[in-house]
Amino acid sequence: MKILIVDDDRANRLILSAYLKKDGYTVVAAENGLEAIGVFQSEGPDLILMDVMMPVMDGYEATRRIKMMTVDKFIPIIFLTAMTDEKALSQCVEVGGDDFLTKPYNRTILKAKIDALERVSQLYNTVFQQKRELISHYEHEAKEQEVARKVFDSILNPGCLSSDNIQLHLSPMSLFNGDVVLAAVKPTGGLHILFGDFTGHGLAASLGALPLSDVFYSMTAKGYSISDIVRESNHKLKQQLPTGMFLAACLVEIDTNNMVLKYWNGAIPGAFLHKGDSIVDLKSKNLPLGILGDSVFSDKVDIIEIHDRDRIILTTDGILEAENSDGKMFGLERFEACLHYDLKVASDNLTINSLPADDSPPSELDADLFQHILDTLDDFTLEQEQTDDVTLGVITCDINYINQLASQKGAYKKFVPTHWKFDLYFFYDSIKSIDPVPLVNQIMGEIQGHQIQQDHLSTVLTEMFCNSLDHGLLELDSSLKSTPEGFMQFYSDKESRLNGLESGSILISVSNAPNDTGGELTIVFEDSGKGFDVKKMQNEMSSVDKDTPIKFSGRGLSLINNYCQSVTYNDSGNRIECVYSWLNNDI
Amino acid sequence: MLVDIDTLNELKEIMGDDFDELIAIFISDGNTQVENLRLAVSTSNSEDIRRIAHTLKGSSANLGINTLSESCRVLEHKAAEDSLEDAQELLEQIISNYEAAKEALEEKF
Repeated sequence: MKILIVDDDRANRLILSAYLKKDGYTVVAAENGLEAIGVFQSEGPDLILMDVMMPVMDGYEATRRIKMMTVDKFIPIIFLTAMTDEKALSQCVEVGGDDFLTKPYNRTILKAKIDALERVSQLYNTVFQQKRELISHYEHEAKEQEVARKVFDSILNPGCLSSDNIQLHLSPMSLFNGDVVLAAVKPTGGLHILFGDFTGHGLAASLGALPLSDVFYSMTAKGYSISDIVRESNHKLKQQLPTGMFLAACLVEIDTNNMVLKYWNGAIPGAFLHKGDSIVDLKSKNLPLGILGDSVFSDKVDIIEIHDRDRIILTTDGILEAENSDGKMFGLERFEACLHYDLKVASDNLTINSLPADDSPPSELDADLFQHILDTLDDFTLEQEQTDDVTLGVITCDINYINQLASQKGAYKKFVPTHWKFDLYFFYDSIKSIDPVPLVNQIMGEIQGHQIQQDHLSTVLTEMFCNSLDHGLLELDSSLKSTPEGFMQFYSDKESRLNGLESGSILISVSNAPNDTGGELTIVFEDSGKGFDVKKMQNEMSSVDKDTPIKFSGRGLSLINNYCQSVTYNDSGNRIECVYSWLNNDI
Repeated sequence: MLVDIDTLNELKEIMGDDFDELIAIFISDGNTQVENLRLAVSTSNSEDIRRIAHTLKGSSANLGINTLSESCRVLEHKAAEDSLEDAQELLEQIISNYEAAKEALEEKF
């Protein structure tokens, strides 16, 4: 520990210096206050012993200056004084002195005071160090969040939120927004919009937006309806969000082909369709997303007719629950009153006339509806601090503009049925780890659009695959399945034989021939197994009375027969070919 | 007692070789301070009287030269109140105490 002695008297310096050196301290000295500041800067002592009355600069001034230079480090200063006058002592404290030592010096007291101040100093410096670390952590954290938010924003906004027909006000409480707004152009024209509000706010609340936006944008691009999107979003959020966290959301589709608005609202309180002369409340009929399981979840959408330039107004509860200085909430009533701002009052409609609409005609309004709502909110809350994320969106159903968006994006692409064929070979080892049915479905979807991915077609593919695998490759006896015990046995045999499979393959070949209503798919499954006596089986099939209950083993084949125009086997029984007709809804 | 032998012995023990230097410094600086004090009294400069008496008071106390320290304290106090009626008398007393202390130090250490 290094100690600076400041005293103009040589004898005093000599005595003090001797005492301190005896106790193992390093000693530096100065003869007056000004010199002390210089020595302090060059030597960086840990403690200072300061005389009061000195020529050039006294101890008070030197102490004041040194304390100002050490705001982030604690350097104790002990005043050396023979004074007993209270005023002088209080001045020592005022300028920043930490203790006194009176003359004549007592070595024991001096040592005790230095020890005590050294402990205080360590404590202070630990605190300063922690404070510096905290500040540095905080700055680092803030930088990271800033970067994360940029990544986040770019993931969330590949859509068309910046389109001219969408007015959006986003005012998150922190860097990350718990409210989420997504918009994308449908491949067949029209717009999908999602307005959501995650439980809570900040980073934790906004994380759920990542899987959500993925579902929303990819499914919209592939031509799925908002029913499909809302069901998949619910499924994914239920799976991925922690318990107690969910998403209040309103999904809207502006269908410009049919001039209708389709919507699904799960707990968004402020969703309205402004039709110019009337206002429709797009009421919530559902729980938020991420709560219900797939079996009880309803993806039913409501449909309303729309006209050119109708507006959709969406807001999360951040506006409705915004408080003024009296603790009153903005509330749904005030919000709805705002919507009447530019309502065109029909002369024969007295009920609307009585509502608090602005008297001046719309042409003289000095702000649009969007701005009016925000201004009204500002006037209400004034300087009151925001307590939740605040989001407002006004989407104008400008039909020409929306159609133009789709063509600009090159997204207005109808899937026209075309000629195509693909063959896939699955060898014994890949069959153990890959389920070919979803893969085949996905390939067909990529080529022909999702409308080809029909439930019945999936069933046909699944049954054909099972037939080739179970009977062709694994040589399982399907008659086992006629009793419940045998059924279990069948599946246990299937698992062990599949694991032990060391040769064989299945070829899947799918081709499409377009027709007037869609297309005709020819699906072939050919396995490398021994096959079976086709003629014998066909005879058995035809001898079965139609009124007898369907046997477990016969179910698959009869389903295929129901859904396909034709089902044929080759003579050796290792190749099955089905013809399936599908309808193209886009036509 | 003119000088406190215990204090001086303790200092000598702690300071070792530096003790002789301390005594030498005290005596030489003391000579200067006494001369300066004499000048200040003759010109009735209360501020200088107070400051010099204060310094001498402190250093003599540290060496256990208590009589000198005490007479300095009285003069410092008077000077601070700007009452210099007894200043000449107190100065004489300080000089005599200083000379006596110097003799004692030179004799015993």
